[in-house]
Amino acid sequence: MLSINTHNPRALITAPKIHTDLLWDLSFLFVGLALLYFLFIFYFRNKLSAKTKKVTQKKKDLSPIISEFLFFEEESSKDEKTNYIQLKIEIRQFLKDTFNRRILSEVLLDLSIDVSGSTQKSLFKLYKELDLHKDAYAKLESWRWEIVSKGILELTQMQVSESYGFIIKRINDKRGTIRKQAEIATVTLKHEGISYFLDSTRYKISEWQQLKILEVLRNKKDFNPPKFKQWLTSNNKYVVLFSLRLIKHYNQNDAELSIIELVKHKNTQIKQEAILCIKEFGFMSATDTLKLIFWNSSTDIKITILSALSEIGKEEDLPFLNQIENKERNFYVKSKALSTINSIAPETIMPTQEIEKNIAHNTPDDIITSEEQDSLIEEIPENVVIKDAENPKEHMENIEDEILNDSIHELRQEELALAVNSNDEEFLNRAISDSLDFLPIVTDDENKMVTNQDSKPKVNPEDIIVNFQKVVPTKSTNIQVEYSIVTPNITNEISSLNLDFLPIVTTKVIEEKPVEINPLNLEVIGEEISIEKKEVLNVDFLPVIYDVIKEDKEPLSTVDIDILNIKNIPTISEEISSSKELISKEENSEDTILDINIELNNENKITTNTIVEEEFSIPKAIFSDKRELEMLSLLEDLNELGDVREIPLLEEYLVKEKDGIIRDRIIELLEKFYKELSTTKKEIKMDDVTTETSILEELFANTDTESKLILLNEIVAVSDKKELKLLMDLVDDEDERVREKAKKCLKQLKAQIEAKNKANSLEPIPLEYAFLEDYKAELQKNNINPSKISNLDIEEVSTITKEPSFLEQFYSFSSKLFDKF
Amino acid sequence: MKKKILLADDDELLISLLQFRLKKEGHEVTFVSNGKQVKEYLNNTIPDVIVSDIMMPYFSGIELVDFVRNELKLTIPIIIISSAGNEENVLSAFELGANDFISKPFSPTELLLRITKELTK
Repeated sequence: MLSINTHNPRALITAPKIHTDLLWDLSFLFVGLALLYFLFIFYFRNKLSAKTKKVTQKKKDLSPIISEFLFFEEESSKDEKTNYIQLKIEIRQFLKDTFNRRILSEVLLDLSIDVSGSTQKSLFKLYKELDLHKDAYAKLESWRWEIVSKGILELTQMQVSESYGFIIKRINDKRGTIRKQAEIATVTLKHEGISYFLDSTRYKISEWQQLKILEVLRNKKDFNPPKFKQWLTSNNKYVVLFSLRLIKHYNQNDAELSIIELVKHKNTQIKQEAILCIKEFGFMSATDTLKLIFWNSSTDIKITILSALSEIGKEEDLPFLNQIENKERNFYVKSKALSTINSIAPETIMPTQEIEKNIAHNTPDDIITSEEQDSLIEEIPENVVIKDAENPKEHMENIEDEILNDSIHELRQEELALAVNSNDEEFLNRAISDSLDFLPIVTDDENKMVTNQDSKPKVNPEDIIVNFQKVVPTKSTNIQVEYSIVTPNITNEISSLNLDFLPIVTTKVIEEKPVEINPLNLEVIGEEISIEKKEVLNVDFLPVIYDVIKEDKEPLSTVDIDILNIKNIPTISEEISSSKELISKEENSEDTILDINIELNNENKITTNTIVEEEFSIPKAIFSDKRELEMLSLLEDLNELGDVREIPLLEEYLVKEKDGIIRDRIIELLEKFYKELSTTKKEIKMDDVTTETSILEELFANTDTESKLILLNEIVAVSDKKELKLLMDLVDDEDERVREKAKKCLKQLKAQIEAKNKANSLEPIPLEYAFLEDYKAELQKNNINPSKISNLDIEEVSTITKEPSFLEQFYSFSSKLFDKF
Repeated sequence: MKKKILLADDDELLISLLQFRLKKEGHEVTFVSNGKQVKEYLNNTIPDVIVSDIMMPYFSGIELVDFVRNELKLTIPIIIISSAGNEENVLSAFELGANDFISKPFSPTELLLRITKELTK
């Protein structure tokens, strides 16, 4: 049996034997991974959107509160004020959460971009009052560049000028983003920022950065730019370049020599900027330097130099420019050189390329038809004599030449060529004479007319009269004549027209008319001049202003002046007529100069200042007894040398003393020392209590008792050491309820601060505490029993907010990172 | 005098701020955050003055001016809010019939004065 094998039973490649279970396992694995992936995606997407929603919601909640703060007015109603206080308390509670603080910062930053004026100022104030700038300071300490940049941006945008010192340190940060942000912040926050920046920056200032800084400077109000020439010597070439640009921007043209020197700089950009400055300020003295560096410069610089020379160059520079034109190979430089020559000396170089040498100026036939021409010529009136004061001889010659040339040009080329070839003089003469037939006939007699040819050698152009006649060209068919036509409508008025343009020949000698001088006019002018002069010199109309010497009256007790001598002092008085009088005079006589009656009294006499001699009554002497005298002297010593420590002694004296004068003196001294005591107390308070002011202080100053009480109920929960001073002030409040409440709150707050300090026991006792000890002593001194305060109930409120350590931060960061991936 | 003011802007924070300021002056303020809502509102109510941002989703400030002037045929004052450097759009808005414009950043008090000026014309 024949069997045909159609394929080789032994396959070259065999399928691998994979266990079906493994395949199922792998399938499950990949499906599981896919599901996991989708779950992750779903989870993070939801998380992000939830967060966004939360942020949006928070912002919505916050915006009316912020509006309330921004538009709060002190003249608001009581309800509004109460509401405002409640909001302040609410927002303080709200800000205890870091997330909320971040949201509020974002809201304020967003709003600061959109609003301006007083609202913007209120916004900045609120930002600081809520201590949000402290969060931005914290950001500056981060190791992540984007956080630091955000912090700087936030502080810059919210105009926290106190942060200037922290930010300028980062001008030379290795990380570009931080550095650039710090540069802008430095320039923005303070006027002197630009000087510091240019002094200290070591890195490149990019073009974009330069533009941004310039924009900041331009938008700065009341900015007085420093003299930027001081940075032209900087080691940082970018500073030099930027300074040049700033010099140009602020038109500081007092650095001529430095700028000219910078033209020799190796850096092309600086060189170019310096040349542009030279061009801008027109430094003529820079031309030699520019010529010097020209040949070794690049094409761009050469063009810039030529551009500058076109502005500052003189005719002495033309040989140099011609040299460039001849030697320079670069087309652009050559063209620029030509344009510079033309701008220094216009029309010195005329166009030469592709210019036609002989141009036939043919007038098209359709401009004036022969009929029109005839009619126009017929209308020209006879005996019109036109005078030309210009050189008639030259005119005549020019006309003849022109006509001759034109006529010859217009002869048919063939005929002329034939005539020339055949030396046909007759033809040529006829052609010329024919061509000149239309000319006006010039004669030395009005009645005698001769041809041009005959008259030409005899004509004395100065003695020629031209008679316009009806002239009909005999051979106009072959000759095209171009001439202007005088409009014949003018008859009588012709003499009044300006006909200077016409080629006129006249026999009359044109005499220059002597200038008619009207002696009357002369007189008038003379008079005017004299009047003017008189007007200039006459200053009678001016009010006479002069110093009136006043005698300073000295106290009578120290008068050493001899009254008789005073009488001899010369004084000048003036009597100026009242304004009413002046006005009436002005109204009555328009042309008359106001006459101010000034009477100068040259006589030596006292008119106004008189010293009243008074009789001085001398008090009678009062004599004290010895004890009284000693006591008074002691009190005087105490007054001069003593201080608050003398109070107990004085009080003791006051009890014992019976003498009225001494008692009065003691009371005076006691009052003085009590005042001193209160001032000292205040000073101690101001020195020891933190200089930071509470945001509630302003509130308390403007609210009523009820509001104060409401606020005091909540104050301990939201307060810190800043509120100590406020509470101390409130202890002295006019209202008893407020005083009591304030005392209670003060006690609670102190306890709270103590608790906080115990928690941070590693930290040294803050200065505020030391002050409290002093304060207690002061209270004891003033008979305020400290036991009353110490017996008050203390509410312990835990407000300890511990800053996370580095490890904690690291842990939180790693966990966040893990969450993300 | 109480007037109906329509504020149209997608920046809800700013709108909220302006709303507060205008309400404080005793006006009745409605705010919408996109062009669609503006159309819906205008089909039902006619305000005394419209304050609109030039850049809004769905329906820009210029389109709003066109819609009010050419479709609704209303002559109510329209004040356009624009960001700095957007002068071309402002010109277009003026050509279509906007009455005034104010550029960001602006003072809410200034806007209030402009609104008052338009209302008293």
